[in-house]
Amino acid sequence: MSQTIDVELRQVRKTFGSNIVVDEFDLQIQEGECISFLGPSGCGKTTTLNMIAGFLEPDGGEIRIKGKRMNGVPSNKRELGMVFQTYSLFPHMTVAENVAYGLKLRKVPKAEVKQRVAKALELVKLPQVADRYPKQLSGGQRQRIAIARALVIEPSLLLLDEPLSNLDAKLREELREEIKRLHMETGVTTIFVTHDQEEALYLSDRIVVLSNGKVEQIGTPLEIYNRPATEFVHTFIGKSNKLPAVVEVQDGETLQLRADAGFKLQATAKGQKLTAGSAAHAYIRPEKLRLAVPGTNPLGANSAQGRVRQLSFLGAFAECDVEIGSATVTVRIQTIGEHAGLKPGDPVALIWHPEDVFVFPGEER
Amino acid sequence: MGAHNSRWRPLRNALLLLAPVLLVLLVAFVIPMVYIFALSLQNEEQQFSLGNYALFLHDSYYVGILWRTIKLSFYTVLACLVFGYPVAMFMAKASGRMRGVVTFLIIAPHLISVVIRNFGWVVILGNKGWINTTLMNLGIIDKPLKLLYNELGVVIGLTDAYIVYMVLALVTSLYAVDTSLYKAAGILGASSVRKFVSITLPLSLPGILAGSTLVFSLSMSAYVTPALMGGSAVKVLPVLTYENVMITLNWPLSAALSFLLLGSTYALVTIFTKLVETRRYKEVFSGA
Repeated sequence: MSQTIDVELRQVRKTFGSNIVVDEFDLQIQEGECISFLGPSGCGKTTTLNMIAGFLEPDGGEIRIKGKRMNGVPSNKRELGMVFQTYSLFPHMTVAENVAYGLKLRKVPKAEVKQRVAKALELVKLPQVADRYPKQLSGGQRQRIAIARALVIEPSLLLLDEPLSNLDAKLREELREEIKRLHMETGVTTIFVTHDQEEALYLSDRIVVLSNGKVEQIGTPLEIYNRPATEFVHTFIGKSNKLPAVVEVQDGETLQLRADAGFKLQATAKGQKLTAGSAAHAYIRPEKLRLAVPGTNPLGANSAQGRVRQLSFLGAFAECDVEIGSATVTVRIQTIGEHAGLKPGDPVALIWHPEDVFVFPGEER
Repeated sequence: MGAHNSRWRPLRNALLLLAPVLLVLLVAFVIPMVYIFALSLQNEEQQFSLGNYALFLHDSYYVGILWRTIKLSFYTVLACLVFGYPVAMFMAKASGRMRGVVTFLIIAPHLISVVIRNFGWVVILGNKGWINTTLMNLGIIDKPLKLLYNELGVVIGLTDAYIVYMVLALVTSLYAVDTSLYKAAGILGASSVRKFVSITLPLSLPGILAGSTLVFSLSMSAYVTPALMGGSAVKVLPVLTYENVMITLNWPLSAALSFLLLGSTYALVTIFTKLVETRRYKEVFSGA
């Protein structure tokens, strides 16, 4: 990947009345990168996308695309491709006419339009529907045509606004593979807005996690998952068990905590400094917890004794809720082998590694 | 037997529910129409004759009146489209509250009798009306513009009377257009004008068709407005028919005029509908 910066956001800010929707948004996107804006509804991800698209004007800061300042440039002059949640195909035009729309506006010669439309339909593997109308297509087909329509103009940037949200689970997976393939084949710089962390992890080179209009973290999927910058990032991505605790002592990288539920745990500090006696929130993901024979303590401090409360079978794996003192934690277990006979009420031991415990400052008590 | 019974039950229920209105239509519409049609085929000695129709079609005075009626109705449709479309676009974009206010504003004048409203126009458009006095006082014109008792006056009056139907028909179809289509067109490079021509206009065709058909039919059969705002100079078919009923008392000819009006309106509306409802139109706007 070359090191050209394709899109740059500098201190971008947007307010609606007294409501700050986006604030201090800084981002540099490299040419060919696929970036996700991830966050819950109302976090400012769609507002930011709309500012990049030119549907909204930022109240502060600037947006640059291919080095050109975009503030004040109307959306029809930005040379972007965009795919919407509701497909937004023109219902009175055939598939081929929909795809040709942007080319005709650019006064591309007729023969070339025909050839490029055919190529775009090949790219999304739907050459056979060229003469149909959008309403004769399924949701998944419509979204592919919308992608073809956006890509055919060879945009400098492709914007995808929750393109998979209106599709059912199976199609969603199929289409996200399709988007990944298209991104690899075309190499177009892409911004993908989603509230689905799995989609973001699957598709992106880097993820921007947003909450309440603020950037929480920008990083690769691995960084976001394994080195969350904030408690919000950790809890928004994947499932995690929250254990309110008190810091007993920090010795270099090793943190000793006492969970409110009544057991001790050890964590590896990832850069943070916590004072003894302060409140903290400790987190362990279900897949990082292991069940062990009750009464055993193979990892020293990092274990606790509990009792099975409930088992949920989820196909490839199962979730086992374990009561430890006053807390209930979820453990991901295999459904075959040693845990096959487990039932509610059985005593178990839980073990974990200190580096899998995430600690964030808690509210003062 | 049971299956036979249940198959006919929906039809029987439908007929029962429709019975009252069918009865009213039969007595107040079908029977009079048959009677008028029969009357139109009689001469003054009450014998069968096509003479009334022949008289009309061979007399350029009558044909001229039919032609004028069609022309003025056509202009009225155009005026309603041109002045109604921006209002409809505004309403389709407005918030629910604003849309309610505008709907009330365009319907409110219709709470007043059309006769009163036509006299209102006389006050505004007459030789000593507001428009002419203002323009003359400003020195823009020397003598009053002729805005009344001519074809322009009739079109103004009819447009005022029927634009509400056009606006409401257009709003319904404009409101059904997904607004993200405008965003999609914009990002693909379309200017505002281009968006209007390539997205808004074609997608509002059902509204244009419905509104135009309504306004055209109503204008063809309008009597009060042409009589009050056109005067004797702008005679249209309904006015001619009225005169034959009330003044010359030639009822068979009046009956024939009524059927010529009905027939020409129906024919023109059908032709217009066929022109608009292309194969593509049916593909795009037919249900589901």
